[in-house]
Amino acid sequence: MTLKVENLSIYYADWQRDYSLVAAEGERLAIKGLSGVGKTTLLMALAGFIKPIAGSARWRDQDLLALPPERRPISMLFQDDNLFEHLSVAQNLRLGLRAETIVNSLPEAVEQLGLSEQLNKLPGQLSGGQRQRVGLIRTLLRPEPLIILDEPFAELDADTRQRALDFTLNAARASNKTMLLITHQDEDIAALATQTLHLEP
Amino acid sequence: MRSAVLSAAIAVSIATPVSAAPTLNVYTYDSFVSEWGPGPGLKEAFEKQCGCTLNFIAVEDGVSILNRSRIEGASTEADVLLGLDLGLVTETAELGLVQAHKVDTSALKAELNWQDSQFVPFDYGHFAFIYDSRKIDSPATSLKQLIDSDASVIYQDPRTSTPGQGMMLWVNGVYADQSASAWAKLAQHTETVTKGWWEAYSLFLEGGADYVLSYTTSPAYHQVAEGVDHYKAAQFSEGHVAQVEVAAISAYTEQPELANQFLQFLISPEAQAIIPVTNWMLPVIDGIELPEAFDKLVTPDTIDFTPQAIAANRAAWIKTWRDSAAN
Amino acid sequence: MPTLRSVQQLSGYAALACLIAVTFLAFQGLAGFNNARFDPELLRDPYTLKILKFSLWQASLSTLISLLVAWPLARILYRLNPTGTQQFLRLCLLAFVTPTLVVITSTMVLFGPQGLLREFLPAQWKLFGLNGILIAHVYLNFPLALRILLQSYQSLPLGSERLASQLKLSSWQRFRVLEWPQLRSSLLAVGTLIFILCFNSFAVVLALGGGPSATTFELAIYQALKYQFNLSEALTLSWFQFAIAGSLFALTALLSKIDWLGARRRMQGWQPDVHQILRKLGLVLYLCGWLVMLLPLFALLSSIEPTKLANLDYRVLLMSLGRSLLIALGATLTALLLALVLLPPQIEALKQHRPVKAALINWISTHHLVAPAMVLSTGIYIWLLSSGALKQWSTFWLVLLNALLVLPFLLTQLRTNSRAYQQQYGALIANLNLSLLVRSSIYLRYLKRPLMSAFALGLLLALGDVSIFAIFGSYDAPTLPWLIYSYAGSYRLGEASIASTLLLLICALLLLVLEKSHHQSKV
Repeated sequence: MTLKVENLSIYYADWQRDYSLVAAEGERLAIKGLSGVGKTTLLMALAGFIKPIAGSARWRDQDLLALPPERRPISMLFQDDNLFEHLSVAQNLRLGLRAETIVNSLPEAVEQLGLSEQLNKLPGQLSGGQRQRVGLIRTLLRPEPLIILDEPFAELDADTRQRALDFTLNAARASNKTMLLITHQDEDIAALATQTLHLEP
Repeated sequence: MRSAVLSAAIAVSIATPVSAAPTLNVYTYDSFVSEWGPGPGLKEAFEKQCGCTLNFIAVEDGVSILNRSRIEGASTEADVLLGLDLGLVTETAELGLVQAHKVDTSALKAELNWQDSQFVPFDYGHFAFIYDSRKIDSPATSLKQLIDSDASVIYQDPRTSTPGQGMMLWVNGVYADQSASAWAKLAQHTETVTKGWWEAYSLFLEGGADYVLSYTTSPAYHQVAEGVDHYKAAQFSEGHVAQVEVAAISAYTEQPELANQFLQFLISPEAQAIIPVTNWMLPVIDGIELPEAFDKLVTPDTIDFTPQAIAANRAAWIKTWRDSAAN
Repeated sequence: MPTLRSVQQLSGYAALACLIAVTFLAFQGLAGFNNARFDPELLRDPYTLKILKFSLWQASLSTLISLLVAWPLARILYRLNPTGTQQFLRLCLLAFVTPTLVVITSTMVLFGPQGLLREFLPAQWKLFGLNGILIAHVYLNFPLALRILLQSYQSLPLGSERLASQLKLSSWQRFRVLEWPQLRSSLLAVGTLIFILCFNSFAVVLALGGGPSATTFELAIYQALKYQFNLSEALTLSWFQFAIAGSLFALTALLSKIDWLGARRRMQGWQPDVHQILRKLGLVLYLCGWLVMLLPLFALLSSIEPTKLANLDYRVLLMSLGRSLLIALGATLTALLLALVLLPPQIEALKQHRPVKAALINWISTHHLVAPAMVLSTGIYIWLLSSGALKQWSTFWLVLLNALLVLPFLLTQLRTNSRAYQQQYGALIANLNLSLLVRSSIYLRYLKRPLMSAFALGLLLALGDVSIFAIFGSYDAPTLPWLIYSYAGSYRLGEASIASTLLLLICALLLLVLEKSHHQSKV
């Protein structure tokens, strides 16, 4: 198993929770649960922004927890604050991408998700859905092998949602990315996930 | 009948102004009227004999007296201007700010050679460099020697203080045309040039430099007030510049007799006994009993400058200083 | 029937006119007397150019060093948030409002020829000159820069650090994308302010300059007025200084506004860990910062003699304190009133999207910051003296001029809040059609906390005034700073130190009040 999380114990605000999960390389794991049950907390801990008290998390047999966030092999889309407000969409997109990706894959992705007209605008001028698509493109085109998405399709309407789902699936498959995905929508799970994890309170 | 008398009495009492003691306003500099200065003693002594109120109005220093008077012009409330020095009298007179006095100046010391009809001196002294004899065994014996040496020196700005002006006169008196190079040489070992006397002196007392420009009477202060005698004045062979402090009657006063009375009082033995031990300058009449410390003071020769000469050359001398003394 | 808005606009413009009138009167006071005139020949005099060169040079160096000291410290405080940060920031604000006199004395006590730190300094060390000026200027100004820069850092959007780490941005990219855009405008604004303050510096250059080569315009004006009574020279130099400092200030007026009381406690977002060695280094620098801030206080306390403490005339001390508080109170209240009246026209201009007009109004409201204080006081003084009105009006002008000098600081404090109020509630208020009284009371209640902190700030600044009192005050009824000055002047340094400590204590107390109310106002 490529991703192994064992009894990861996180103390957050005033409660504590243990998490365990496994995922094979290339799997896409959907995480479901009621609001407040701790889904985002788990992902944040994996990405390195919350420190767990006990337990282990290993990726390809390497201890994830020993690495600082900027060295973990993770590309994450947060619930918000994914864009730098003072940089244009184009500048935001290029951050974290490799040069050949920018040249080869980026234009197509932009086209596919209907953002060609927005490239020179500032994030503040975009709608919520457009902003989410920008973040999605970048997160999926980055080289890191483990992708974490926190409610990535929440602001999209039915039509763009379908295109986004297609894009996500194709990008993940093309590079055999392992994915952790938080979502409430069953159609997202149906389209993308190879497995589902229910978090009980 | 009774009511008539009553109303008459009231009318009279209202009509007759209550006669108050006259007030004499004297413009002077602030250290003169501090509790340690001559002001309080003089005020008490004079008020006893004049039956009036002596009101000292303090401004920052001697120059401010002149400036304030010149700005106020005829609307000034000053009756007497006290605390100008020779460097300022020409300008004061030319502006028509003062009038002739009726004071009998025959008792003044002969060496002062006082001729002026408008100004009356009340104390005088010589400028001198003070040093700490515990630190310096062989002090400089001439201005040239001091300037050529590398001893650290503090003096005052000629543009903003009377000792500073004294320094300027001194250098020009000794060096004449060579003053520019003298200033430049001095600048190499000048610790700082301060705005006024106290900034320089207090810095010196904290050990800030070897020499400070002050008065020949400064050692007397330390002796009498503090009981220490290691501060001494260096006597220079070329002579020293004198500072004579004067008082005069304002041209716009409404009480010239009272003002004259005050000026006469200033050079009376009573006042002249108070001034030296509070203002730390020398008395202008003979026969004043001074503390023993005054006997030990240096008595240098005087480099003479007429007030007219000072007024005529000041601007040029300041410019030379300004341009040469950059350090 | 005049609407509220027109009343507001009218009173605002009337106040602006009054401000201009004061400046005009001051210059007129100088010009009208003895027919002093503007002397263009003077501007070509090599001495004038020397003054210009020196003023620019020392101001530039002071600014540069202040920023260079402040920036790393701000970064350290932001990244490490060590214990005692809040107290340190309070100390910084105290440093900014400390009366110059106290700073000068401490500098001399510490770095002078017999200074406490003499043994740590090289043999040829000379305090009087550029060294002394820079030390005093940096001490007075870097704390302000520190607070402003820290506030900039703390204003970073909460998720930015997290995002930058997730995107694996390199340090250079982090700086370029994250820090620089945030800091750029603050650095420029606070740098320009410090430059102006140092360019106009008077007391520091006078006391620590060391000689005629160290002269700023303010000093040169003082010297022209004082001994030579050369009004033409004073006038010419004043205009020159006003022109230079004034045009710089006009630039900042267009740039971001400075929150003097910035660096409030904020919820910190996630931040990357700091490398152990860097962390240790940072803490060491932080401790050095504490040392630097506390040294002058230490110097002050060390010069107090216990015997003097017992024999001090406390009545005189407390009376002068009372006078200072009264005058500062009057000045601050006047300034607050002026600020409240001056804000509506500016906000209106901003609302109408006329930034140039808004900037112009802003400049007029705050131009007394750059007008030579020497000229303002002396000009008015001469004007009053020659019209024989000095005695009756000196207290009025004492209070008014202090108010005008404090006004720019208060305006910037209140402007953001006022603007926010207008943006948020403007439409609602207009809709509700409320009476003048009701509207004013709602407005003032909204502004209560910022008003209180602005009030405390103004009080702090006005308490330290010496220069205006030197001209308009009377020597037998001194304020506390003036008492310190006269104690020092009659070589009663022990008393001067005690009085200075008292002044600092009062300032520190006021500061605590100010911080409390300010923190509550920024929710």
